[in-house]
Amino acid sequence: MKVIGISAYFHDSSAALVVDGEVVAAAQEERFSRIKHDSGLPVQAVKFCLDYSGLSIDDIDHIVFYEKPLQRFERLLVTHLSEFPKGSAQFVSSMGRWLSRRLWMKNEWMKQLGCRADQILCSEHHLSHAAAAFLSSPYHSAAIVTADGVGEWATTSIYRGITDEAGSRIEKLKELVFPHSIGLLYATITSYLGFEVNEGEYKVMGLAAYGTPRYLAEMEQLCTVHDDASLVMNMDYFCYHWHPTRAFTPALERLLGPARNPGAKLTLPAKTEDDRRYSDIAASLQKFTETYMLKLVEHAHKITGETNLTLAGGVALNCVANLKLLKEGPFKSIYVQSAAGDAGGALGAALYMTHVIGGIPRQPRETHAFLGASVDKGEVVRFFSDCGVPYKQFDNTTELCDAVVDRLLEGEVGAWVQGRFEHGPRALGARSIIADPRRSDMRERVNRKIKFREEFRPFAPACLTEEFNKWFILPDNRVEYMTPFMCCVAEVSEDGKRMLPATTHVDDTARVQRVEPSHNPLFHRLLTRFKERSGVGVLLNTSLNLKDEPICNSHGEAFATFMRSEMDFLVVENCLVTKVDCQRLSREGYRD
Amino acid sequence: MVVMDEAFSLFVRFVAPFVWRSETKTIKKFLSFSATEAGSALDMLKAAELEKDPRRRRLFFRHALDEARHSNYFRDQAKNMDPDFTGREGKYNLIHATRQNLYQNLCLTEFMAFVYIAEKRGESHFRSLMGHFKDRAAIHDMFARIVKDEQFHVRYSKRLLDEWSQEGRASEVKAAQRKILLNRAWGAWRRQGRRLGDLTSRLVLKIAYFIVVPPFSLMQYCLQRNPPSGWREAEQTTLNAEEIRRMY
Repeated sequence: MKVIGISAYFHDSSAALVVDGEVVAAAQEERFSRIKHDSGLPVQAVKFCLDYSGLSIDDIDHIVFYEKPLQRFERLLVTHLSEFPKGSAQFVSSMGRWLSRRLWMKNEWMKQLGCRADQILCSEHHLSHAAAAFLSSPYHSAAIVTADGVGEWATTSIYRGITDEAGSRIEKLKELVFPHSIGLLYATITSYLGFEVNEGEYKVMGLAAYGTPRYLAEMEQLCTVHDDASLVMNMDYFCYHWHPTRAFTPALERLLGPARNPGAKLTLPAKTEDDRRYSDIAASLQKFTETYMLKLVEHAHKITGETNLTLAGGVALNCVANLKLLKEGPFKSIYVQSAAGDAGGALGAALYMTHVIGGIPRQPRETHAFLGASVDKGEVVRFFSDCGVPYKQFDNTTELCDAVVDRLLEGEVGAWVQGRFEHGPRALGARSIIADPRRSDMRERVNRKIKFREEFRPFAPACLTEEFNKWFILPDNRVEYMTPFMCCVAEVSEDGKRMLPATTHVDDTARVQRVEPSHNPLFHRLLTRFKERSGVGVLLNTSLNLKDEPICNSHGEAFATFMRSEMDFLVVENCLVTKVDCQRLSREGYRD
Repeated sequence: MVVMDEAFSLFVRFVAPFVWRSETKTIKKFLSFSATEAGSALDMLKAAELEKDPRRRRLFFRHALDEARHSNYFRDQAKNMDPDFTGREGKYNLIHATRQNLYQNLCLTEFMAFVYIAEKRGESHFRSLMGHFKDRAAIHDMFARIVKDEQFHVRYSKRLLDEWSQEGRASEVKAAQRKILLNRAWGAWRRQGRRLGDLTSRLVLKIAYFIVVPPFSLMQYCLQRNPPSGWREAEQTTLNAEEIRRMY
């Protein structure tokens, strides 16, 4: 059975191809279109999946959309009826979109993808999240908790997933519905703090570490949490359900003080009263979210009786909250899939059709995230040769790793482009910027001169599995499923704090990636060589992109990013390019 | 086309005193030029990545580097002119650019025709601005450097088109140039049409909102029970083969 899953029309459009239960390819549209969080139909991502597998669209049995469009439309209509006449502006913009395009989704797909109407199916938003989490997890049975902004109606759901002799099943147990949503609370405060929704949530998480949660009472005023982990938003403070551009009302500013201007400078540790207030609000929101998520998973544990938990939805990407669940939660093991947000919905829709409805047997096992497009070695060499870019080609990977380690030890920062790119928002060693984490100045340098982003944002360490417990602390050493995808922070050990200043956040945690040789052998070898030379099997690892741009896909995009920033070197497959050699190129320009 | 370029050049010279009337406007304009040039650099780099012919690939790559350098010239010029520069360095560090995927969306002949026409227009535009800024040495020199590069881009693209014409593809080259010129006009027409269509549909929807929605809203208000909150037990726990076919 060949199934394509598609998520689209909201943010992070994506496509995934599953053939007889194997995930063959999965990619976000933004990697091809170069539009950050691209929300369009993922035509190029679908084309990539088909090209990669050598299939045509006619060979595909089913194309599954990750949600029920008419249920989402119903929510919009009902909300507009109940909010009349406040929501006229949002009505005009959203109805314009729906009437011109989304209601005729099947026609657009047939035209753009060349598929037939009978191939198109529609899953449910939270069910797709749940399927992505459970069906790609290593568990035979698990509780599944999904929490995001909103799907059709649901904002938070609890499922139970089972794989046994009878097949795989995912049963919905209960759900919270719009407008009561922990994801929308987080998004609203993100917007209040001057960051972009669906993009700035990571920044709020980073900012939270600088503050103290002195606004918890105010958070409780915004949102009441009951003993059964249900929550009710106080809608006096929110207008995301009817306002086209604003998520909060003036009442929120009366409660928390004036909102931060998106362009305003934020200095941390806070020097002004306003900056202190913003970081304290972020800390309070984070604390509130952590407490709520803990309550939620405790409730899920109570009603399912399961010992394993899989998490999905945008809130599952809150890696700080995930640590709390691991430390204080009732579950023995927790799994978060690499693309836990909407991009993963495509994968979930395809997996649900394959295993649950299609009945294809499932083998629970740990999966990897390297499902995107790769770079052709020969093409890279031809590109550099034809363009006159000075490069050095290495015959074996040990020499390549040694040359890279030499440069890292000298304090250089470089791009590392190898194999297929990652599915999901994190760079895991296929499209990464790497640096020596032992240098205390490295964080500021990479933030300011290379990524051009806010100085307070932390960097993640990539760590050899065998070294994990030396530098990081997780309760009962429960590292096995949480960390390959950078979905959980860990406390940094005393040695770690001393040796890894560039990747240790201000609250002494790090969003660590555990590197397995079976997932990414070359990156593992690089870390091993770095350990042999420096005594530390850890590298600073951040995504290969500049601020507000998608992560690079091809060698040309990697080269463009390299030239536009102050990176010192670029490694693409077995070729090494240095900035010193390239500076001549950019200075001279073209002459006859 | 020569006549059109001359007319465009005259137009630029005519409106320049208005467009470049203040330092603030000039800084803004330079930043927008910087973004455009950076976008062109990304497009040319993608062309270099996808093109298989080594000679053309090298030309595209060099063209990309030129455009990237021009983007930096404009950015640095804006930075130098900004009296409040200290404390907001971030504004000038990274110029955001958008790629138009021209190489992927056009065939090679059309792509070269596009490069030729766009660069010719650019060269003429910047030459006019060079004249406008003749009393400001730094800006004048910057435009002079850019014009020199643009002249090369015009030359190499023309040479490629000429070579293809001599190889017996003259009608194809002419058709490509015509298509690009028409596309520009058609694109402008469509943009205006879209704007007008958007405006009309907004107006219609606004009217519909205040005429159609109120009775239903009133009905809902009368029938309304407490809005849903708290856990909702799942009425249906799974989605079967029939249900997954539905859009609702």
